[in-house]
Amino acid sequence: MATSSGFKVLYEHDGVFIHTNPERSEEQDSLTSGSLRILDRDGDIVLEYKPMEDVDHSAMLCAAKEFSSVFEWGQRRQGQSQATGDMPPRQVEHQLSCETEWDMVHTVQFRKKPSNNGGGAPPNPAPTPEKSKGSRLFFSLSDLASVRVREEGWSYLVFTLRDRNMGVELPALHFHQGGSEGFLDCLRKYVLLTGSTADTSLLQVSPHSRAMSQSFENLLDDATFGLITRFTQDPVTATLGGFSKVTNYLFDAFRGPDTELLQQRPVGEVADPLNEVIPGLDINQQEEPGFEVITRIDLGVRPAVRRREPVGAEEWNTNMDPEGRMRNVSHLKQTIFKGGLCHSTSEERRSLTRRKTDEYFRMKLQWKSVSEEQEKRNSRLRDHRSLIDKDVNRTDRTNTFYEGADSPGLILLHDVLMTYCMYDFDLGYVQGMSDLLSPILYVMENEVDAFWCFVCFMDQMHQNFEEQMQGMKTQLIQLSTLLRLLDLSFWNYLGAQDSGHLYFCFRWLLIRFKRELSYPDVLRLWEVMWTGLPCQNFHLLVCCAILDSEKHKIMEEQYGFNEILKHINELPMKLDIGAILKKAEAICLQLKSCKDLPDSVVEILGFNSTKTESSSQSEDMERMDREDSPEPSTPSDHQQDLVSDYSPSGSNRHLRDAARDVYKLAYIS
Amino acid sequence: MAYAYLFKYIIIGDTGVGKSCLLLQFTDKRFQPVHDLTIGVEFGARMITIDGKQIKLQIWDTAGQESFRSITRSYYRGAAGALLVYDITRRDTFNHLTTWLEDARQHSNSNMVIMLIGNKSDLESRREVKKEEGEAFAREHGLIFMETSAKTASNVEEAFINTAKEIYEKIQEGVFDINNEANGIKIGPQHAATNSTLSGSQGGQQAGGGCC
Repeated sequence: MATSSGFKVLYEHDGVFIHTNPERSEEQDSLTSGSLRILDRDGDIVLEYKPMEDVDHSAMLCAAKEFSSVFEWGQRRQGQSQATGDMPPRQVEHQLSCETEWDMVHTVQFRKKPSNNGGGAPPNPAPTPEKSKGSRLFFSLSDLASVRVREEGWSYLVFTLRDRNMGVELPALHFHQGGSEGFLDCLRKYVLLTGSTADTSLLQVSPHSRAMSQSFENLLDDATFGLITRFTQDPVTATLGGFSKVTNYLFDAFRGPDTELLQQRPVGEVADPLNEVIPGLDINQQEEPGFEVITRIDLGVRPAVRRREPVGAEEWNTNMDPEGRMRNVSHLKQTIFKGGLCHSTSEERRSLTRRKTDEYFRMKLQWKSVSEEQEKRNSRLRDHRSLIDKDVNRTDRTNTFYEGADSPGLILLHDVLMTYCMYDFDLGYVQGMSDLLSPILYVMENEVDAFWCFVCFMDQMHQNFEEQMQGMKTQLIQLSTLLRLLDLSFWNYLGAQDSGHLYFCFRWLLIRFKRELSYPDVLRLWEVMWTGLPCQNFHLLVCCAILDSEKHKIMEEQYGFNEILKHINELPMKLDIGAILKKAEAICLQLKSCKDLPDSVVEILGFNSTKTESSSQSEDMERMDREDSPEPSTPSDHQQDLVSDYSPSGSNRHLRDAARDVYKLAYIS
Repeated sequence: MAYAYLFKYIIIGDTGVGKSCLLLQFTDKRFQPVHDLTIGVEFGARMITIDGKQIKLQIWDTAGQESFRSITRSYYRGAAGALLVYDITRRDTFNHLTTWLEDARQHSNSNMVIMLIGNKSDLESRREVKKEEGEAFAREHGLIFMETSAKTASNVEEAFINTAKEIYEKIQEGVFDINNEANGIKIGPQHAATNSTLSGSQGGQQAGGGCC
């Protein structure tokens, strides 16, 4: 066969066969004889196998394999074959741009002969797909990954090509008439074949050094090719994008707790993290053209999954509108998925309420029945009582509920706090607890319900009030950790002003912003926080949000230790709770989507668990739910607001119900 | 307002002895029987005149409960004066003075002037601690002593101002290093230009609201 202009034959050998059905069907196994050539096409060395124009063989082949997929394998990237979805765009582009007869240089074709062409094929077809006859191979040697040499009385070779995703193995070429050695010798002139120690029959192709273009092409393997292509298309974006990534990696590698670590370690070890980081760069061009996305195939720790309480009748009903239509269906499904449905009866809930009520009054009777004589000999009880007496008179006295010398609110506040001493005598009463109880009692208007709500709230807050205030110290450290991540310069500034311990946030944390906000805003904030959403320790992000708004003033005015404390102390009633919550949630989302979050922060915000509900408090709360409060059909705007803002999980259900009760009272009166 | 010196004070003592009421009486000249208990620390300021010099008092009022002690200690730092308050109607608040004093001495600078205050002197009928006991304790520990009533304002001005005078004298004697803010003293912008027309020890007191 004559060579077309533009390429020359470097090697040619006839009588090379392809077994079209080597395994499946004995009788239909057919041999296609053909000619194997190595061609030089403008410096690109290609291998071509072309069947002889043997009509009988082709026809037999077609008849036997009409519906077989054997002929369909390979990378069919011609127009008539579907480009698969995961194919990198650049290859498609490349393909479309080549419309010469050599458009198969980067493709592999192994196609059955079209049956309608079977009769009179032209003797010398150009090797375009449309005109190709029989089973043929055609590929550039630069695409060759390995050659497997087998003996079966005769030699046969199996070529494996480099592929974008995986090696493509071509059908074996059988040298029934000998000549495989000569072919391999010739092949060695153009590619470097090295034997594999693990598999002696395998000759692997090493990157070629003969032609500059070729070796360059070999460099363009999957990872870098896209980068270079992109570089030529959009050098600025590609370069800056690449630099930014390196910057991020170096920044990450050198900042944070690692810094001290690096400094302490011997020089020899210092390079290790970098070596680990940089070769690990895995560039993925497919997800976001224009910028590389760093993919880590680390699947991470399998998260802990939490179940929740079953959905009770009450919760079910709250998802029904007054006409009986179900609302929030997807949410309801989610909650049922998480816990199933509760089948407690009204009677069961009534009996639970009775039990909790009994329990409360039993504990109340305990302190009520202590005589003066007994108390004289019980200094702890005496101290608690005297402190509670004092503090009840100093808690929210401007609120109408606690106003006046003998307001019933004051008595309830006192009694619930005293009963809590009986419930948890180790803790007893600590200043700040009256602030935590006051809003709950105000909303519940019932000492039993308020007490059990308070118990649940205290479960969360308990550590803050313990002897050495360990909970407070922990929270301040956690807050510092978050602040450092969010705003290193402000964090440094505070440290330089001897305020790095963040004691100026003490009151915020101890009584959850109770003194910093108006009463309705406190209720709002607590409702929000009791959902346990959007992350653990959300109140710390609320602190960060407030500080984020104040830092400019603090830093611009160069406030010192005293001024910072004074400034923060004077914030009450100047804060916009809506804006703060918005910012706090935004920070949460920002951190959640950050891939390189320090472990400490992940831990603090609970991103490593699926816990989204405040768990401990919800149980008793759920049980404390009442079954007897039908939702008013026409609530006022304010009440509607109050009710709809409670999520149906967690202790706030209680407040929600309470809010409904408050409404009922208003409705009746 | 321009001042010659700024003195930082701290008020300490058991919970409920009237620390916040003393501060409010001093800064706002009023008694508020109903006010929220102190969580953490609260702040007040007032301008006074000593020896013709405008002196700003910056006063930190701390929470009294034992549990908060580990945190409130940090506020001792950098205070020039301390008011150590007990309640004359509650002996236990007097009994705890030693602990308070140890704590204060340990966590403040050694030159801090401490004024011992027996508050609620208006409640004579419920008195549990004699005035002589307070005087004796003060003498024993080298403190200044006064009985006050935040309710009637008796001796409240004097308590704050006498403490300031003591600090001022220490400055004159060169005991305090006024250039070190950790001593709780700051030189104000007005220091050099002392106005002689304002001379007289306590004459020119002015209620200075919340300005810093």
